[in-house]
Amino acid sequence: MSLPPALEASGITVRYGQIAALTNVAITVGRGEIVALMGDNGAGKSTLIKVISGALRPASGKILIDGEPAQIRTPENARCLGIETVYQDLALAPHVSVARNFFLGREILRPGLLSWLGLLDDPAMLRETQEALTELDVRIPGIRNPVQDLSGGQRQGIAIARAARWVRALLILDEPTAALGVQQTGRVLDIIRSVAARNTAIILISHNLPHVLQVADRIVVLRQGQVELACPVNATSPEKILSAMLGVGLKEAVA
Amino acid sequence: MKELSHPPQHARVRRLWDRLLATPWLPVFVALLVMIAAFGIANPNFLSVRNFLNIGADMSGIGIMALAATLVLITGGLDLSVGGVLAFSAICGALVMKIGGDYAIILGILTCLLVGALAGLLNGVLTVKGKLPPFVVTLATLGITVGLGYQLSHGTGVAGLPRSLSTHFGFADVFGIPAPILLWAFLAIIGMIVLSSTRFGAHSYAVGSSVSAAERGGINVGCHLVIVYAISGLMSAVAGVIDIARFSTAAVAAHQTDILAVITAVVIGGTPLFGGVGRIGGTLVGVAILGVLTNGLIMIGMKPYMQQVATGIFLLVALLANRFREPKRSTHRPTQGHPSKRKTGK
Repeated sequence: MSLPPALEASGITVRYGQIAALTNVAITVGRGEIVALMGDNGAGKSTLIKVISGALRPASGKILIDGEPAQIRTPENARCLGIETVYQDLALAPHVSVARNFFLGREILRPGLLSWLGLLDDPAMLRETQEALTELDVRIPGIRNPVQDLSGGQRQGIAIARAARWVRALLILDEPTAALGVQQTGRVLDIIRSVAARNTAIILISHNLPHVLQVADRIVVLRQGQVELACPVNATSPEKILSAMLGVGLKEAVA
Repeated sequence: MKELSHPPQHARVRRLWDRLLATPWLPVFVALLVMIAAFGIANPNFLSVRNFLNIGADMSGIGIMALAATLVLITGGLDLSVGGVLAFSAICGALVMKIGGDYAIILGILTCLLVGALAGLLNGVLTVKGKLPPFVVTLATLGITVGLGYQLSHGTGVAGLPRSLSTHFGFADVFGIPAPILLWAFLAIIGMIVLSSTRFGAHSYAVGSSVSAAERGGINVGCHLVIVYAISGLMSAVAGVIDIARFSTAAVAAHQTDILAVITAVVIGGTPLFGGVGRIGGTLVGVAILGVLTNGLIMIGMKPYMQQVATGIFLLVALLANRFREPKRSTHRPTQGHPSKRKTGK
């Protein structure tokens, strides 16, 4: 007997005034599955992500998390349900150390009376940060160093590892490889695979077809706020994906 | 073989030297020692223990406000109102004491602290809720508190305060160390612990470093900033209490340029103006430099006006020095353009 999918969203409709940003969109992500969410600019990817991560409330639609109906009204709701999002800006504080960034807003306090005074348990946070980074093989020079000393790929790795530390159901990655060089991209894709291997559901937003084909299990293409294509990656081809994104016939797309 | 043993030792010395150079407060600390030596040569009386305790007591008010200013700057804010809030809250407290006499000393102190905290709270709420730049809000508060202070004190000051305030606090000492210095030291230690080892401190650095990262982390940034400004107002009021306790009077005139000394001390201490970085230890050295400067210039017979000039010059020099020390922002990763789907499509 198979478990219910980590995320099952259906009938999601969002309107900005007269304009329909999303119409009756459905997306399902199973445990351990990487689903690539693709589409041209303005196709509705960001809107869909905002709905799932609680930043936007849809006009209608149903969301199930692990088979249970969920009300996602705020980003806090989403986090409580075990949904973590890594935005393109990574949400890292540049002057703050890697370990402190790892626990930003979720600091571990010393036990007992000292927690009343808000005293931090730095040894525990350093230990857990190191463990989480080692587990995903994120290589950085030192976790006490400020984040601004690190490269773009290292920062991306930290942001993903941090989200992976807290995620319980679904991890959403917004263009994690957009700003990276070839080698760093390879590292980040490896990290994404390792997170999925820990039975986490992942939505990967990307413009980069080769990256998507490398890591994704399934692909969902949005166009003008509707699902244009939803199928396993190995059941489709780059040409079909492109034509779905552009909304033109196969011949014109590859011509 | 002999030559081979040299390089490691050499490297170790080299590393130590690099680390010393990277220590932000070291040049400032050396400058402090040089100043002390110079004033000591010019006037040997300068080097007495009594004189150093005088400097400490004189600087305790500025020092306490500088602790709060360090916190405010770390969060990326600015509080220009400290001197005005000090004077206004001190005058409010002094009026209560004047009316109530000996019995109202505690009440007067509480009034002073409450007024200061409320002024800071107002700064915070206007900055956060009004979405206004803090320097404008606190500049307005400075004007209001200075004006109200003059109004309440009839343009001069509130005198005739109960004696026991100065005997029991202002000029009291423990093992020869003046009470204001002890209060300052106590608050400095609290400040260091809060900034380095508490959630509040961690959030302060995060908010100053990146508001959006702090918000995404679930930190209530607005609420945090309101508390920070309230603390700044409260610390100004604590400086106000020291002021009335030492001088048995509360007046505005002496504090209109306090902000210059406070910001200079913090900046000399290596805390930059852009947020996310800052240390109490540096601020303490910065306050010491200003204290030595002020006292030393008097001891060698300079006119007091020159203190302001020297302080201003120190502020500029410190700002420039911080600028050079600023870590080079790691240049952003080589951008790989999105493969344009449009082109492939056509």
